[in-house]
Amino acid sequence: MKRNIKRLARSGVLPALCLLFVAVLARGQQPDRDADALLKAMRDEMARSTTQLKFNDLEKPYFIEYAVTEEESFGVSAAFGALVRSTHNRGRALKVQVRVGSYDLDNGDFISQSDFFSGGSFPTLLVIDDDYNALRHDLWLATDIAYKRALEQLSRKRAFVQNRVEDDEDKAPDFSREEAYAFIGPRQTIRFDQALWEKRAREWSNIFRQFPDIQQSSVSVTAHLVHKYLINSEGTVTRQPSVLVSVGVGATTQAIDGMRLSHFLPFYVTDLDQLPPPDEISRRVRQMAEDLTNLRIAPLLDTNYNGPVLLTGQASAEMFSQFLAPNLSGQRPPLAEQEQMRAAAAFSRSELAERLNQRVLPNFLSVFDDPKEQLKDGRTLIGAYDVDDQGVPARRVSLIEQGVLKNLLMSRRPRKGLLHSNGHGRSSLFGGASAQSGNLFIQASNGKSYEELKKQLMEMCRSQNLPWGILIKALNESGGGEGARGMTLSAPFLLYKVHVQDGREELIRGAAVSVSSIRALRDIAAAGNDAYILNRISSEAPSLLGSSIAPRSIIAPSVLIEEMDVKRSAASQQKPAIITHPYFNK
Amino acid sequence: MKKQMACMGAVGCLLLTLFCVPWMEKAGAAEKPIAKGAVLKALEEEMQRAKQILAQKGSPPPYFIGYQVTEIQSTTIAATRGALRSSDTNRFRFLDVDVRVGAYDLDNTHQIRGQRTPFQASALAPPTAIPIEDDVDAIKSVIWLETDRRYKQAVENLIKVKTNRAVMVAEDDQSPDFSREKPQTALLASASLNPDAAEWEKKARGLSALFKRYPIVLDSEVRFSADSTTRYIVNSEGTSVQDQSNHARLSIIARTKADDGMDLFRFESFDAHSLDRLPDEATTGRTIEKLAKDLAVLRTAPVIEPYTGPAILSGRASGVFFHEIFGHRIEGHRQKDAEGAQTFTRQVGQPVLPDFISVYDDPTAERAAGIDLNGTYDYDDEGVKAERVTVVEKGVLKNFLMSRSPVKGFDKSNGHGRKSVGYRAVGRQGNLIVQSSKKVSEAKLREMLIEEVKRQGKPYGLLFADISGGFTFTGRGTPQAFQVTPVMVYRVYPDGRPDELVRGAELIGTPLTSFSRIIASSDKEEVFNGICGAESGWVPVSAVSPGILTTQIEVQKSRKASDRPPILPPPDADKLLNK
Repeated sequence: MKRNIKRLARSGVLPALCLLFVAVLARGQQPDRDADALLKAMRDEMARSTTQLKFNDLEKPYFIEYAVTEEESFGVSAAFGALVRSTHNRGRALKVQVRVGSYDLDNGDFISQSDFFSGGSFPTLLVIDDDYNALRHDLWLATDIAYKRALEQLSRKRAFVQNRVEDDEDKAPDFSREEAYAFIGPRQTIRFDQALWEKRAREWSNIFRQFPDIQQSSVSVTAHLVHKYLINSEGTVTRQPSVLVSVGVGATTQAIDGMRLSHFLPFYVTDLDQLPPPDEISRRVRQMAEDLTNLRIAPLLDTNYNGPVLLTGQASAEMFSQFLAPNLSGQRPPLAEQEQMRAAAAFSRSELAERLNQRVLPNFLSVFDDPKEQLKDGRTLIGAYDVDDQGVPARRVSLIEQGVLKNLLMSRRPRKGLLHSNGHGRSSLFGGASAQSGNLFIQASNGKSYEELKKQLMEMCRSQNLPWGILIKALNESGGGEGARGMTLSAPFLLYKVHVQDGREELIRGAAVSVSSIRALRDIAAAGNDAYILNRISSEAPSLLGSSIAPRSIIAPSVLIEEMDVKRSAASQQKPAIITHPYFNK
Repeated sequence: MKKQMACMGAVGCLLLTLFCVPWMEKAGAAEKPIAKGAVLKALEEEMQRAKQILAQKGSPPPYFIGYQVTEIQSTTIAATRGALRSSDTNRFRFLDVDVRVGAYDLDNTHQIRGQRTPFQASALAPPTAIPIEDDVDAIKSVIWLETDRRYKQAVENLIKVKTNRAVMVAEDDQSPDFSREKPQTALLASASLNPDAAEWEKKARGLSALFKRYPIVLDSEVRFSADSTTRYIVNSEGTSVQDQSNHARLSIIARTKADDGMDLFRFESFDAHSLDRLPDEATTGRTIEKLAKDLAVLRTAPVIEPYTGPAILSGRASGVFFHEIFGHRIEGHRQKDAEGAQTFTRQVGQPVLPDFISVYDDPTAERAAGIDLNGTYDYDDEGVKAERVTVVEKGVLKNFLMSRSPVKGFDKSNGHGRKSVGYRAVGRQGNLIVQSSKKVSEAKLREMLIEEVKRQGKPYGLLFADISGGFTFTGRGTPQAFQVTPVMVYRVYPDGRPDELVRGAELIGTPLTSFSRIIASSDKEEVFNGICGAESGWVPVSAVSPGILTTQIEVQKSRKASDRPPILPPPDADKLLNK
């Protein structure tokens, strides 16, 4: 396993997946699946394994799945006008899943001392050439290892289940039965003009030479072509191409008192051509640098606040991404052999899953997830896909209707009352698939304008005798699932006091925003008539091995929440820099 | 992260690291003086500025600042069974900043006793990526902030060090924390390796395809790497060194399983300072054939029985043995580590090996037995000139491998402060050279083994033809047992029967006594090139040794459990049978 980590790390698959992705030109080619050596190798070895794989008198597999993630990625990064890295990598990662036992009780979703992947599999590197024999050889070895591990896991799991009092949760099967599905998307290619993007990255990063207060900055551009292959012993065969392009701009500074301030500005699209024009990106970079510079000298929050908070645009979508999205997952936590692992397993438990048919939002809000939507108002939704990572076709799922929870996002891990997948089993490079959102739409039935929302915020403050209210226009990205389960929002970037007297907006730094529980979302007082599209590549289901990549989109209106806690951030105060920036102190 | 993994929890070394990073190394030969470039200029100017500003505003100001930029241009290509597994070409520059506050006698790097993180002192990680383009302003824009950050950490650490000193009893070794050294200046460069990736991809595919002839080989890989490393070392004492080294490596690994599930592997690597000194395809092809055939024999070889008695270690096996068991214990900083076992601390001037054996470490040696050495360099990673160090002379311990961290009686560096990116240098091996004055031919050594077998009344002796790396635990908490893995071990019978290959051998016993029992050596010097991982990261090393005969070695059967061989035959088995 260690060996595999090293191999992966070096092959570029890992860095490619972990980095932000970027721009690509992709055009369809050769739909002929027989010409695809990888697909043929997968099918042939699958056929052999399903019919012949059996160890002595032990059980045969009842389910086998091969998932191959093939990637070609380009990356360019620059700082202060000079190139820091320029890369091009190719890799193929294979995950083999073997299930023994039955749909009702199998080796899956069980964390034991010898297996932390709970039935998922650690990827191995496949050859990157289209060499049928070499591919089959790799598949053969990986299948053999997965099968033996599955047998061992099943015997451990059976022993564990026998000695344990069954609770209500256990009454669902381990794995759902789904219909076979065939989807062969076209093979695509990617063209990335390395020199052009190097030039642009230099130019964008050079903008920071105009901002003396920014201590550190970087710009990265990545383009990522992925072909996901998935076949299983039930007859599902899928090949799904996708492209992810990103431009990411990060900058940090320190306030006079030493407080570290940072922001990351991402652009995600699914085709190079969809990126905003270079000048527009330059403008946004400049804006971000200005915002960060202004934040440096903004006053600190002087007193703790409890009261209404208006979240607009990005801040609102980010709030829904952090508070609501993870709780719409119907993923049942895995069983865990040991006490310590049990807590980790339960970490991914939804706060809402037990409240089906109850009110969880105000009646003017409805929520659905639709991975089949490619665009919203002409803009790319990166959470779109045709087939999920378990070979189940993507489906629109109505989750919350007029405030009432109606359904959950489901993978092939059933839960009581929800016995089937609805095409939301999404996977990370490590570990197995879990139920996660694709394109999550939050919609308001009687949306208000920004002015109306602000007016309502001020009225609410007035009635509570508050001299000012809180307005948040931007939040920092949560660090890949970190804090996603907590009820504290990621650090605000643009947070303002709105003075009740005159409506003045005063930028404030160093605030931490939280709610007491998910119930706070029931007390959303009003929503906007806008729809902000937030694209994210962090997973919302933190795996035991850290965050994972699952591109997703959240589309949300601005919201006015009745009650939030806003406190002085507990973040450790750094000392201001002693040495000065050489460029600005010549 | 991958780098720390292999040495986590152990002061250890994998001399033979199959899948570890091909790393930088030194080829002194072709280096030529060159003009000062953007990186050195940026480092020197920022050094001056940081010194000045911190002298005024720092409380306390630093007494030392060290910068190192490591620029690596690397190509790595791996293939299996005729197909590419990966092919990557990368170029990057990393900056390491070392800021010291306090004084040479006591500074922020002083070991804090009672703290259960023994590597804390050596870690500078993570390293900072800096521009790969020669833009002085852009490079500087990264240096200043990193210096500021390291300075603040250093100040914080010094307070901890002083507190710790105040509450603990006085240490045995009152040596200073940092040695004073003469500043060095050098500007050297040689041509980069610049391999033709397409050509090497073709070679790797072709060579790796040879394994297809051997169905018993489950997994195999041919890996080619070419790294050109430029180092820029600048410090506040006036050192300014730029040099370059090249390392090309062709390595082959093959694995199989015995019917009882025992994992078996063979590994071979060729290391060179230039591409043209790598073996040609025919030679590599023969090596592949040999490895595959070795595995075929190993699969069905008998499993070793517990054994205590005489043995011959081939030159390469002996090299690994010396590197692991002896070499790590003569690394200077280890004599001071309050948590370490300080194996040789009090034995300077006393015999530690038989009187016909001398041991040197010589980073200035470029080749031995016609083979390029991995551990060759002109300057160490603290900018100190490399020196040939006589560690053991005629069996008597004389010296340690010193970085700038002094130990009692050894207050200067001898150019062995080494590290990889992100770490603080400690005393490490370069080219460890074992020499013997009691040399006999290999045939004679074998006769001597048989005599010794008869004398001890053993049924057979052992011949270790190949040993792979392992870990040397020198921490106090662990027994001083070593773990190197013998790969090719033969029983040598006194009655003239042919030698018999055995598998599953595991060396046990007490390392220090193993050395006192060497009674003779062969006259054939062999080289083992590897990449060694320890608390200052991965560094390329070599061990050069003649074959040795020892009267006592202890071996047991490996107890590692593993899965059975694959249930189904290889997918192309039918095709192979039809041929």
